[in-house]
Amino acid sequence: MTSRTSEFSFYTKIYNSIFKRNSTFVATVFAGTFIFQASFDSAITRWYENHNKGKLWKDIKPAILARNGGGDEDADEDDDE
Amino acid sequence: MIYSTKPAYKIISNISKLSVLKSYTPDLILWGGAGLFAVATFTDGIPKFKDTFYSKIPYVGDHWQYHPDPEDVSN
Repeated sequence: MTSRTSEFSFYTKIYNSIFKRNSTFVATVFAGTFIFQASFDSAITRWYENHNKGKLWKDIKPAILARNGGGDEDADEDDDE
Repeated sequence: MIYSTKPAYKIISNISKLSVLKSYTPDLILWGGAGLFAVATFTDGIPKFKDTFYSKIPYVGDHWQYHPDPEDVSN
């Protein structure tokens, strides 16, 4: 009985603070959207980078630069010739 | 749940512009906040807004900052 009462008061609090006024409802929807789109973007990026670890530019860049012998120096020499 | 059978009219004893504005103030503030969140939602991807506002939010502002390796940026 006690838990039911507390549950009721929880939903009452939610109703009174969010759904009762249209202004608070709309504000909650937009605030939720703003937070969700940032966190969703963040989470998907983290998953993608973790899923493709070893294939991303930031991972292969040191190996490619080492293989090309330092990158730009050769190009500059070619330009001078 | 109490259902209302008729509109709940309120009688304002002293009708002045100030008292009307005062009675609307809380709702106007809440609608202002809702409007700000709406603007924030639709300007989330605009660089000017990202740099000016969202990247400065404490703790989570880093999400809107872009840190490329200086070597990889042209010019």
